[in-house]
Amino acid sequence: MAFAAEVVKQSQGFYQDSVPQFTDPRAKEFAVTLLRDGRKHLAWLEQARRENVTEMILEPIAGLERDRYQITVDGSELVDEAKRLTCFLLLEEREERFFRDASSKIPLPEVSKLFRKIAGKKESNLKWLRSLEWI
Amino acid sequence: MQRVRNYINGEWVDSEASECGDIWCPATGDKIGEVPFSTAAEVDRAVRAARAAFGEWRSTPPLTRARYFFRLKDLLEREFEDIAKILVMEEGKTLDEARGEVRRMIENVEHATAVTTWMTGYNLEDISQGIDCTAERQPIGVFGAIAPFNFPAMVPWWFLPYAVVCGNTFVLKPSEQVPMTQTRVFELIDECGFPEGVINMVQGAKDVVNAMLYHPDIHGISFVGQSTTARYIYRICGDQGKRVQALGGAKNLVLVTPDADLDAGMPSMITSFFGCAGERCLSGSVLVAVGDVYAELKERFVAAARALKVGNGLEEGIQMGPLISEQHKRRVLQYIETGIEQGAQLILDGRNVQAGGYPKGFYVGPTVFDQAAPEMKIAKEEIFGPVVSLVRARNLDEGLRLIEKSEHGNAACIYTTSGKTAREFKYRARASMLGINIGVAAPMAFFPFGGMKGSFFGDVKAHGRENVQFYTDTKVVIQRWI
Repeated sequence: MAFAAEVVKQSQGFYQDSVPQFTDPRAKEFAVTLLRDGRKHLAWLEQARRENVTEMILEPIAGLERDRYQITVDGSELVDEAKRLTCFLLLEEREERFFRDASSKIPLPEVSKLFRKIAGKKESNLKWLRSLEWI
Repeated sequence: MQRVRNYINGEWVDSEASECGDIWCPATGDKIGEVPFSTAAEVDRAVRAARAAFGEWRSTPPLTRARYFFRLKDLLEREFEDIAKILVMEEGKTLDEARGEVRRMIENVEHATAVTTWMTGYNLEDISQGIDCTAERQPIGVFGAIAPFNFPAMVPWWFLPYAVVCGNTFVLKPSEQVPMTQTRVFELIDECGFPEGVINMVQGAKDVVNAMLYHPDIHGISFVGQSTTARYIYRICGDQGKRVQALGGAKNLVLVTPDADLDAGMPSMITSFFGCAGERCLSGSVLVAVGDVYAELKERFVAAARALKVGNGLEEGIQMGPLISEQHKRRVLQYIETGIEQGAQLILDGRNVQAGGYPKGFYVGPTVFDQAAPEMKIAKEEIFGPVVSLVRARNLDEGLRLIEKSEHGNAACIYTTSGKTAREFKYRARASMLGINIGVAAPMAFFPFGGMKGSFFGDVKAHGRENVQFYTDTKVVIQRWI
């Protein structure tokens, strides 16, 4: 759960930095939407953590390794909007992959459902990003 | 200009409908949005999503289901004022009336969270030698609700939280005249993170209603609206083998006896007849002066009604807002004309009311007819506006007979200081929601809501405990292990 929140927060940081950089209104609006959704997802994760804490175990989840989901993006050095959106794509792909993988491995039904739901949202975002010709 | 959208499978989607209706601000008479008249195919998509979500949702522990509603309650409290203002804008009632309505909506959410108590079954060992029996409540599947214009926030929530917290999934059709309030509420549902497909909303009109009524995967329908439509819905649902609770119209009588305390009672009496501009199924409509209270009652009631400040509900100090639409205003004005034609005496005329600076608004001021006979249209039919018929009854018996003769049986009230009279009224009045020294006998979330006779078609009424029966099947398991 902690790593899930970390993943979302990293994306959020990048999107936050990106909003003032965009001149294209569609891209700016998309970044704002991602920020708003990210806040919502963090709230859901926190809620799920609290509500399922009595069922949680401290052992790592088998087959779910952090390293597979580590990526680095640096918003401050990138000014080109297309490159920035490419980073969006990477971050959203990473989230989609993580939440999808984790949802099938995590043994708590409610958390698993939530992860699946977030993965579904990410999938929609990816569709939109991939539809952009300038990425 | 806002064009409201459907909420299907956890996503906001634009309707594919080519036809749409206008949303009006009744106070100003301005168009403020558009509502698509969604198609049967869109209803089908919503029902499919709800059906697909049912399996997982029903196996989600009831307490976990309730937790979604605890979260929702927090969000509703956070957005309380915003919801109330949207409601005033599209429906026309005053801001305080809207606030009251939003509070009632939230109370249903609060009450529904008691699901872990509501849904418990019961058992008996040894119903026969070595045989045990249990009765367990189980959710049924997809339910739908069709809501009216007059309480855009509250009425859908007489049903939705109970159906969903019991483990069913849901499709709501708000009134096409006031779709913006539930749009705001559904934004909060979305923020809550309910699983996709559990709660859906389809905007539209008659086609959506019929698509819901005839959809084979909707197991039950809750409806609130006019009696003719309620009867139609009851009939179709019966044919289709669906559960149904159809709440219809009303023509509520308010009796005032000679011993009534008019000082204490007048404010609630006025609220009963003119609150929400008379557009509620619990409004008083016929004021029955029992015995010799007539002259004093008439004088004081008309004076209080005349003093009401009519205008835009968003403004401070306004006590009565406009009617819902220009069309409905014309209908109410027609009733006033009919009352005059049939010989009732118009002693307070609200037809040309001035509502400060809003000449296009849909206003009708407080209107009172004296010498209305019980057989006149104004005293018999539901007007759904601020039009009162003052009728005389010689005694309590005669007053109770008037209630009995009414084809509706939603609510009835009495103002009296006599316990004996109150008891007699409670015992005999043929209406389901009674007020004693109360003008609007509105049951809260934890008591059943619904009338009798032409005001209700179905068996199980709205709200809490009753609704749990409507939304669950009682499965009986008889076991022998030898």
